[in-house]
Amino acid sequence: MLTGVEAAAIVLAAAPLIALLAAAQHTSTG
Amino acid sequence: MAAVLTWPVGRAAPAHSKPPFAPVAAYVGGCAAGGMAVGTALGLAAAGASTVPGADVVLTAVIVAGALVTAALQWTGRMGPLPERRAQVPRHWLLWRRRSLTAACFGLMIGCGVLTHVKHPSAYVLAALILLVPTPLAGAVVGAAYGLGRGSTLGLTWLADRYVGRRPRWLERGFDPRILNRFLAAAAVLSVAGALSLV
Repeated sequence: MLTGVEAAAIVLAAAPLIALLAAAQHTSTG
Repeated sequence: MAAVLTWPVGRAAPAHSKPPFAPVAAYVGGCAAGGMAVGTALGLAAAGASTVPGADVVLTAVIVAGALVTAALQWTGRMGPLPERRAQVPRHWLLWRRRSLTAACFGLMIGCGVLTHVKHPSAYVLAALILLVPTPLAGAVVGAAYGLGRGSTLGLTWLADRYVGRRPRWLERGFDPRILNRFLAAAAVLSVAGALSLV
């Protein structure tokens, strides 16, 4: 079972991708 | 389409009124819920698949290979063979009387990711990352973070309109697509490497 720390680490690993996708998807559909 | 997404707080509002917060909150909440729903579903599917004896090694190899090919597609800026629902949020929902309800439903659709345009292949890398760490919790957390990220652009627009008086340039004009593709591809590879270190 995933611990809270591991879940946080996964989000941290994905954070740059998530942030870039959020910005890119917003502006590319504008 | 940005005009539709920023409609609850955008230029359509009377000049003398301050942009209301409730539709923005409903939109951001809807985005997070949509992302969490899809992420949880992916996590559940991956958790089910990983119970098959010997399947996890094969699945990991296939997922990593797929993610790297997708990152390469992102580098070139092409969606290639990846599926995409070529649709926007339904425009007629703007006619609903309750703006917060419209915003929440828009958010749910946008947050799900797969129900509207997918302009960038690396969105699939995010799905691969959930599959690599096959638990519903990981899917829910990553999915909700994705949804919040998507929703945050409207939140930023609201904050800029409410307190600054002008919007950040990147929100209005966007980024150079060539540079963006490089950064997205690099972030995709890094995120997969990070998830692999946790498996």
